[in-house]
Amino acid sequence: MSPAVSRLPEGAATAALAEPVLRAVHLNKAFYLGETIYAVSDVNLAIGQGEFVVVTGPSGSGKSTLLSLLGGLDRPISGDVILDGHRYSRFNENGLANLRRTKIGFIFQFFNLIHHLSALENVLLPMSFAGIPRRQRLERAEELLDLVGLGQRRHHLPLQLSGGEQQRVAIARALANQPKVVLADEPTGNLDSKTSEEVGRLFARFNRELGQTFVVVSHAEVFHAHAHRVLHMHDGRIVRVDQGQRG
Amino acid sequence: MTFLALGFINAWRNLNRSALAALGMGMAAAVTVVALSLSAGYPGGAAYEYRRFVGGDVLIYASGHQVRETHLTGEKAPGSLVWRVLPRDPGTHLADFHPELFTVGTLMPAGSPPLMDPDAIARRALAEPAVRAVYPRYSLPALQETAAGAFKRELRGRNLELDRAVWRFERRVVAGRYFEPGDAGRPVALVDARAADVGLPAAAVGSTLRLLVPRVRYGPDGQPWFDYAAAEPVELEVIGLYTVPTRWRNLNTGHIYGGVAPAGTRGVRQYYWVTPQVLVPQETLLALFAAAGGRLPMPVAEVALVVHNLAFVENAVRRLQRLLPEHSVISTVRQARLANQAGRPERAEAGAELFQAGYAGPAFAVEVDFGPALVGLVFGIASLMMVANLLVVVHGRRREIAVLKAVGAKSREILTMVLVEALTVSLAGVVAGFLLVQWMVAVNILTSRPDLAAVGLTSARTLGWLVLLAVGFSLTFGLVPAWRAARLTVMEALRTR
Ligand SMILES: Nc1ncnc2c1ncn2[C@@H]1O[C@H](COP(=O)(O)OP(=O)(O)O)[C@@H](O)[C@H]1O
Ligand SMILES: [Mg+2]
Repeated sequence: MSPAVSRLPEGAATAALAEPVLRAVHLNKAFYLGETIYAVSDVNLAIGQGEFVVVTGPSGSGKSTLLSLLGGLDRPISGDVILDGHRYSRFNENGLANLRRTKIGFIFQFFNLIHHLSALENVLLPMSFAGIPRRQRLERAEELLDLVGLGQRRHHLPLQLSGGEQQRVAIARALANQPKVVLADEPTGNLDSKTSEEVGRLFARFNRELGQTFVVVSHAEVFHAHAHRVLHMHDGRIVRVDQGQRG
Repeated sequence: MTFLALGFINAWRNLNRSALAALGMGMAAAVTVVALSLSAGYPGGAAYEYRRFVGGDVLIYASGHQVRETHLTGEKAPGSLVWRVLPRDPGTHLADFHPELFTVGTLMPAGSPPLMDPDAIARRALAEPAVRAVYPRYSLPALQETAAGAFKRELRGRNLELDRAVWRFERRVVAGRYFEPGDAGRPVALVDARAADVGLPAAAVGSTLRLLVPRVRYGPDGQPWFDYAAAEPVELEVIGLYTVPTRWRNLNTGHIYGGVAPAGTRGVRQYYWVTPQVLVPQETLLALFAAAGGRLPMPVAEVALVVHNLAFVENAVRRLQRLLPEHSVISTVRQARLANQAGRPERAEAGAELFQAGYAGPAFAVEVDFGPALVGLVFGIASLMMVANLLVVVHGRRREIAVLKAVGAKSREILTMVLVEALTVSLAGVVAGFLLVQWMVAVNILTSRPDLAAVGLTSARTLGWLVLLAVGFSLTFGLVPAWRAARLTVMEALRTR
């Protein structure tokens, strides 16, 4: 790690946005495996409402760890995350689960659908957790599946769908509760370039048309075209911030 | 709500893997059913020894011995309740169970037919699906004259087929042998080995029993009556001696139990039901009746019925009573209990003792109630199987649980989900086990093993206990795997493919 990089001025990743919806403040996360490894090291970050942020960097640079901290799936050793005015450090596990079910949408590399539930039921799940009435739930799930182009396959089980289709179901599921922010960890990591393009376009569409905020961890160029900002991570730190093609 | 549903779904889709755990629960349930029915008092086979001797689960008496509401309202027999002392001659078990009816008398409806046509009764009783067999109780009064005096005896016909297939009466033969099919119609007899206990002359196997059988005459109403003045001698060969052990007392605790004391139990007094009956094959009795001038078909004062399932005998009794309103229908179990309340029908000196013991005691309980320990043990083992299964299942489902948590499931909800799965599997197993026992009971009855069938007597209460046990055990033991599932860290589970 070069001193120049580590002395990146504070606030570089904290873009001049009027109202950040998601903020990370001096975020640190370490793992102890014989020696202490800082997976996330003093990360400061502010993501604006409606922003499309791509996080990139070499494998092991701490991208996934950062995302899990932002999503409240893991606790930092110091620092804090503030989502829509809520400080994670003030919440217990239940509170964080409540935040996840109402304000955050997750998309993973391995799709991670519930295998024994149909596409529709997968999309319904977070809405059931959030206690949305049944009719409303069904309407929204069907609408979302239509939006991702899977209206005809809503009763298929995940394993009856291709990788790209599964990921589209996952996108619909992430958007189900109209989250403040969608966190995606290598969403195209398991897809070929053509389906990756499709997924990229879908993200962009939700971002442009619905103003959905996205934080996407990805090496794939497909997202750069739609990004406002591209954050580069190395050894747990954000070492460079580029303007995205829409930035 | 969602998590309850997810728990159910998980239990269902994982049923093939949970089968072993469910099986364990099922076996626990089966053992429990048996243990509970044991402690509920069915090892004695719910008055089994009485039923065996009487030759039926249900008794139908010709006369309306029971005063029913219709009699009181005068609907059936207007103003016709009379005080009646029953004639000793028609000979029914009622005389053994309730001697007061034959000495003091009782209030009962007038105009009841004193005797029944067994075929007509059989036809009507067999219309009731619970009834498996009908056993007319053919009997003739007889006198035994010895140097010590004259004794009243009663010749009773036994249905050899039923005795063998259903009642296994041969097990109660203590000397000599039980009847063989070839004995039908022959002058052979079985007498009570303990006859001397009630002051009757003792008989030895191989000896000849000389009895006087009264002449059968017919009154103007067509009913038979017995003419002792014209009694004729009959000679029967005693081929065996039987006993009817009905109850026993643990002398240490004073508790009274049904049936025969288990071999090797110390400090026991066994009670016997001793009657003046002389058992002969049914065919022999009919031949004696005809020889005494009786006209066939022989009318009877009592019909015994064998039912398919003793568990529902009281329901069958209720329906039969409706089918046969002019007669009295009672289950042998109930008849025995009623008699037991008065210290009967065992011999008189035991009667006082038994009467003092009262009926509140566990008259039909097993001596050592190993039930709770056994139930705890089997459910413990079944629960351990359940835990092992759940731990494997939960481990295999780590990713899925992680996804649920990422989507917003709380630890408490994951806990609920796993517990519901545990609960569903154990309940499924328990119900299966319960049904298994029911099935075994059915098979037992179909294959004529009522003494075993009696063990499986089950009830809604038993099922209630099972459900309670299953819930208790699976919740307690399911906590460990459920807790593990709830504590899962999402990121680790999602890291790898
Ligand atoms: N649960 C964990 N236990 C130990 N080390 C971990 C754990 N999670 C992540 N790490 C380490 O933290 C660093 C960052 O990992 P990760 O966030 O997965 O990187 P990326 O997603 O950028 O590939 C790596 O060195 C990794 O080995
Ligand atoms: Mg990663």
